[in-house]
Amino acid sequence: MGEPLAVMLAYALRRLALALVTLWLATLLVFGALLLIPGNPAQAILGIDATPADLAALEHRLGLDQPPLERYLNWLGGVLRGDLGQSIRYQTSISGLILTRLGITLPIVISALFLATLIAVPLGILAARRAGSWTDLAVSMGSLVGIVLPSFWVGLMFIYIFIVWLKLPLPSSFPIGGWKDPAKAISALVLPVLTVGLASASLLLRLVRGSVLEVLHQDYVRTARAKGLAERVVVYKHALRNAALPVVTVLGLEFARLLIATVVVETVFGIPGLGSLSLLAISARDYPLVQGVVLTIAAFIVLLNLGVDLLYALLDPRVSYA
Amino acid sequence: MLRRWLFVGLVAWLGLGLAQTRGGTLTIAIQTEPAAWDPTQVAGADISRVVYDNVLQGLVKRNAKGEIVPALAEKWTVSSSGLTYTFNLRRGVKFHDGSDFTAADVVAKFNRARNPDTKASGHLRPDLYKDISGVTAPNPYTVTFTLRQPNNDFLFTLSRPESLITPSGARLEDLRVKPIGTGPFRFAAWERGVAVRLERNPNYYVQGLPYLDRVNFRFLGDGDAQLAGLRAGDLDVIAYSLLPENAQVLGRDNRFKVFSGSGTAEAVAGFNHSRPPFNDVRVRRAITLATNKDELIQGAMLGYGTKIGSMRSPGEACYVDLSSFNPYNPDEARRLLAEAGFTAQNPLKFTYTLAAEFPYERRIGEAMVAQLNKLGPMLQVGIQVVDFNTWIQRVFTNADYAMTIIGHVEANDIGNWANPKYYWRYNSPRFQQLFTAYLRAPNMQKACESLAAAQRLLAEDAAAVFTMSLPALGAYRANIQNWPGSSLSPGISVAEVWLQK
Repeated sequence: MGEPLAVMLAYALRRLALALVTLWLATLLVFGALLLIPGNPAQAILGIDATPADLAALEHRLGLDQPPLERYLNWLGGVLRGDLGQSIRYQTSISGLILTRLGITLPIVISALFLATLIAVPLGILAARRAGSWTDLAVSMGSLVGIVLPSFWVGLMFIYIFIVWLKLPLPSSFPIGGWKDPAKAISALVLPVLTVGLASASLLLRLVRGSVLEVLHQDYVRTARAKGLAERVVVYKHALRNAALPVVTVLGLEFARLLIATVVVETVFGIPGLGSLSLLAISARDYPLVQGVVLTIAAFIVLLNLGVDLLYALLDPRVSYA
Repeated sequence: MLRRWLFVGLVAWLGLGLAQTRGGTLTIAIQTEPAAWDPTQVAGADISRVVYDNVLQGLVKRNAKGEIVPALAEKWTVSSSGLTYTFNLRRGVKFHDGSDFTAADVVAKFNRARNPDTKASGHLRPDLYKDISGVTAPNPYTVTFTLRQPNNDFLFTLSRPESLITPSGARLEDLRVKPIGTGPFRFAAWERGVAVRLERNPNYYVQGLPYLDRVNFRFLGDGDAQLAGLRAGDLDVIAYSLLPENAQVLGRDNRFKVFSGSGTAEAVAGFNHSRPPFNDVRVRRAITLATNKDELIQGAMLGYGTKIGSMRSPGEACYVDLSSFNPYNPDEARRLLAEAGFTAQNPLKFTYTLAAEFPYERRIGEAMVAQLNKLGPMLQVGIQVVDFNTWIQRVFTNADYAMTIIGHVEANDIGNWANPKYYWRYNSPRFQQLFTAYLRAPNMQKACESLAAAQRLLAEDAAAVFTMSLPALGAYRANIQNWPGSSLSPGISVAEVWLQK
C-alpha cells in the first residue's frame, strides 16, 4: 500500500471541489431543461375546473410569477444555506420528503446489490474457471435472460407467481404508515429487492466472469500456477483481487443508477421511493423538488465515484494519487 | 306457497340478525393524488372524492342520487321573489379542532367566496357566487343570503365542493394540507405519495355514525396494481376507473363485488371551434356521424358506459335523451366531408391529442381515431399522446389543438359551453342566451325547458362528439356493506359503510 495519507486526503479534497462544480452544473442543466418542457405547476395543481384568475392567484402564491433567473438564484441561495426549500406539489419540506424516500429506496438498493454480489461473484468465478463448459453456457445464458427481461415485466410475473399463484402472504405495496409496521414494510420490499437484485446480478455476473477470465490468462497467474500453487490459492488469492477492480467500479455506478432505475420497480410494487418521487416531481413540474432529487442523486454519484477511486488504492497498489 | 313464505320469513330473520357492526379499517384506491385537500382553494375531483361529506360539509349536500339534501343546514326557505334564502343551522355542531360551528363561520366563508380578488381570498371561482349581494347572521343559528337576481343554480352552487365550510379562524395554508371540518371523519395524516388517513370523529352529530374507525384513501393510478392490491388484501375498494377487463375478472370472483352505473362524467371528444376545419359545422357533423358510439362502448369499454348525445348524463336533472341524435352513418359523413371540399386528393388531415394519464379517455380516443380513419382516404387522423400537464397547457389553456377527448366529471357542467374562452372556444350567442334563461327562469319547469333546448342545440351544432357517459365502475370486498357504489355525489361518502364480521 504505502500511500501517504496526506496525499490521499489532498486528492480527495481536489475531487470534492470538482464534485461541487459538477453538482452546480447539474442543477443548472435541470432547471434549464424544465423551462423548456411545456406545462406549469400551478395549472397542474388546479386542473381543468379553474379560471385564469385562480391560476394567477396560485402562481402568485407559489412565487411562479417571478422571472426564472430570480427563481433559480433564490433556490440556489437556499441550497447554500442548507435549505432545499418547499415542494410546490406537496407543500412540505423537500429535504424531509427526500429523506423519507431514501429511507425506502436505500434499503432496496443496498439489499439488491448485496444479493447481486452474493449471486454474481461465485457464479461468475465458476463460469470463468469452467469457461466453454456446459456450466459456463448455462450461467451465461441465465444472465443474458436476466439482462434482457424488462424489470417491470419480471416484477409483474413475481407478483403473479408469489402472491397470486403461491399465495405467499406478501403485500402488493408498501404499507400505509411505512416503517411503523416494520414486518409488513420489510415483506413489501422482498419482491422489489428480488426483481432489482436479479437484474443487477445478471449484469454483474457477466462482468465478474469476463474479468476473472482475463486475469486468469495473465502471465503472473501462469507463473503462480507454474510454481505449483494450489488452484484455489491462485484464483482466490492472486486472481480475484485484480479481477475485483472493474467489478467494484461497476458496483459503485450500479448503486447510483439503481437510485433512479428503481422507479420502474417502485411503480410496479407501489413503493413510494426516490424513483417514484422524481417521476412525480417531473410530471407535476415541481421545479424545486426535481432539483432537490437531482442534487441528491448527483451527490450520491459523485461521492460513490470518489469512494470507488479511493478503494482502488486498497485493491491495487499500482494506483497512485500523487 | 308455504315454502315460499317460510323462505321469506327466513330471509327477514337473517336480515334482522345483520345489525351494523362498528369498527374496522377500510382502504380505498383512488386514481390520483391531489396537490391539496381544501376544495375552496384547489380544484380537483379527487379532492372532493375524499373530503366531501367525509371531512368537510356545507350547508347542503348532494346525496348518492344527486339530490340536494340538508347537511349543516337543517332546513331552509326561499322567498317568493327567489331573492332571499334563509337557512336554519344545526345546533351543537363542533369542528374537528373543537371550535363551535356557528353562523359566523358561514358568513365569513361566503364573504370570502364572493370576493372577486382571488389573490386576497385564496378562494376559487368567485364567479359562482357573484349573484350574492349580502350574507348575514340574524342569530348564531340562522343565515340569510340576499341575491341580486334569481339564480336556479344557487342551491346547486351551495352543494358544490367549493362551498364546503371550514372554521373562520383557520389559516388557509394549514387547511390545504390538513382540512378541518364537521364531517364524520377527521383528517389524520397525508402521507405524501402514498395515502390519506381519516379517523372517526368521536363528536359527530349523527348518533351512532360513522361505523368505521379508520378510512385510508390510497393513491394508485395503475389498473393492474389496483387489481393486485385488492387480491393481496392491501385494498378493500377500487372506488372508480376500474378497468373494464379487470371488472370482468373480479366479477367472476365471489370474494368481490363489482358495481357499475352511470356517473356524471361525460367523455367529450372536443373540437377546436376557433379555427379550420372545425369552425365548419359540416365537418363537425361528419366526424360525429363517422363515430360509432355503440362500438366504442362495446369495444373499448367492454359494454360499460352509457351512450349520450349532449353534455349531460342520464342521472342528472333535466336530462334529455339525445343518444340517437346524429347516429352512426359513414355514407352521410363522406358526403358532408365532400361538400366541405375534402377529397382523396385533398384529404382532411388533423391530429387528435390524448392525455396519457386517463385510462378510459385514452382507449376511447384511440378507438375513435381508428373508426375515423376507416372512413376513407378523404380523412386522415393522427394521434398524439402527451402527459396531462402538457395537455393542460397546450389544449386547455392555449387551445392549440384540433381534437381531443377528456372526461368532464363535474355534475351540471353544461355551463362551460356558455364560456367562449373555454378550451373548445365554442362561441354561440344562442347557447349563451339559453343558459342565462335557465339560470334566471322563474321556476324549475321553465328552467328545465331552457336547459333541454341548450342540450339539443349542442347536439344539433355537433359542438363535440359526446361519446358516452363514463361508467362509475369499481369493486369492493364482499364483506363491505352499504357501499355507495355508482354515486352521483362529488364525494365517496363512507359514513354509513360498515364491515360484516
